[in-house]
Amino acid sequence: MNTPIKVLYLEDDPTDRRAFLRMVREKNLPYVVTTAETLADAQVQTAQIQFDVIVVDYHLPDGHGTDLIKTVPDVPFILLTGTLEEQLALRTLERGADDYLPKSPGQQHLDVVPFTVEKCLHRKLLREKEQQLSQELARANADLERKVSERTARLQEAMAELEHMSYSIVHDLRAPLRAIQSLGQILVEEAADRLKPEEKEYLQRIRASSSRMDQLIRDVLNYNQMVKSELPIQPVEVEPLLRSIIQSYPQFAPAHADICLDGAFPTVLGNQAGLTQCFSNLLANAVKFVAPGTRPSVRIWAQEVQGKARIWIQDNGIGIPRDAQNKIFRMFQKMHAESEYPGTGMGLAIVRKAVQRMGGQAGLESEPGKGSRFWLELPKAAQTARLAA
Amino acid sequence: MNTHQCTTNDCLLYVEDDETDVFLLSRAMKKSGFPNPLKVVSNGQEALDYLSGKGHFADRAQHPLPCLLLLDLKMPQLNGLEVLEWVRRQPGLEPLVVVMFTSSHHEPDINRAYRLGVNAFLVKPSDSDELLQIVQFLQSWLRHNQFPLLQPSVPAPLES
Repeated sequence: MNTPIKVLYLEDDPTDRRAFLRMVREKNLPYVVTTAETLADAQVQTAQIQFDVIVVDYHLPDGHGTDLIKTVPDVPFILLTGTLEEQLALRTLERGADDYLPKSPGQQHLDVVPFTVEKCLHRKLLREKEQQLSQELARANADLERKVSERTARLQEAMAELEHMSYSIVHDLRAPLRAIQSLGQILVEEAADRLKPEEKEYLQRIRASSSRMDQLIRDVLNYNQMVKSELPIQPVEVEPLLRSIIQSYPQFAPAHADICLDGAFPTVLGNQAGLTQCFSNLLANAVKFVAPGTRPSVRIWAQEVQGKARIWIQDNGIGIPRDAQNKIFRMFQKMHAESEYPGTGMGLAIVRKAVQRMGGQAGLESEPGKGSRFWLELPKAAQTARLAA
Repeated sequence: MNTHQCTTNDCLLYVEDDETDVFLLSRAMKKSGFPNPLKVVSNGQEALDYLSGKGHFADRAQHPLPCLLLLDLKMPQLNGLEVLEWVRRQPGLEPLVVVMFTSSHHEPDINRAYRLGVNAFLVKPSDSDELLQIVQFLQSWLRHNQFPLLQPSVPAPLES
């Protein structure tokens, strides 16, 4: 160390004091030693000088060396004890002394003093460093916390603005679209007999395009709904849900398709509205994407996969090539021309988003010409586990 | 007697800024033989003027109080919800039957309208057959529904 170490040596025995000073001189230690003979004397000194280390004898005429600890709690404190004073030494350590040295009659303990002082100073340095680091850490944490909450607030604001904007856009888009659709329809009703066949065809195309745009807007709204609306998770019984979906859409009726529920279905943890949207989209795809002239045949069953419920929907449709399988869950992804299989390309994007929001997964297995098997995986409700046990 | 039935002479007041929507509704009414006259104003402020008999609307022979107020939601200046809120605060006018007629399915809009005391919330269809059904529903509703008697206080001129 470059700067001298300021040492207070509190010792009433003049022989010991001399021995200590001699040791410092002989070892050429970088100490500036201040000596005190009594506790009162030491207290005066500590009030005036900021010592780096204090070495005290225990037995003093006006008290005990350890009484000094509470006046200078931050200064490394080394106690010199007589022999056979282990208990006392331990108590002193408990009260905050940094170390102790048992005095030996031949003053050999003085040889250890430099090391002990060094050790105590080093420990103090470490303590200070640690304190400094933990303060820095606390500051950094507080700073981070503040930054995160500021950014979260900005993001929330931006989200709210975007939401409002998308709502307004969608709403404003639908009004003129409604005019196109309605007026097109009126024109067909009122002028059909005066129009040439190709003119009727143009009108029909206007109407079909505007209906398609309306469907797109509605699907985007549905998707947004899945992104932002609350989807409270509750136990949902899969089988009655599937049956009610199949009953409420004409394209799932026996007149158009064979749909069979195979085996038992669990109660899953999900959201009724979200699951309704998922199953009806998957079923709609299953009956839609069949080769011309093929009667749709769909089988639905449940499987347990690593403690979760996986619902499979298998169709006899045209299948999906492997390289397209990853893409089809994205927004506006269509594999076919509008004239072949009409649609907005939003159905599976809505399914995936809804399943994600419910803490589950969706996927598929498919080969062209061999149909597709789509699956949804959700946590099982605890209730079913009890029933099964 | 504080209630009455709506007669075919009672008018409907339609507050709508979109001329096509006005055309479509008038056409559907004509098609279904809706007997009641349809009065139209094109924004919220004009609706307030009409209902409070301000300016040329003071002539109640020409501009009678409607038995039913049809309100578009999104309009420049005063929107439908603000008109509704205003109606519910007018002594004697506050029981007026108000129906929202809008392209919004937006949940907050629907909830807000009902909290403000709307009597029905109808979404404008894009299909003219569906519009015809809505008009027929309104017609039969007008025939069978009991309506409150409106006793608006003599309108205080709004301008100072």
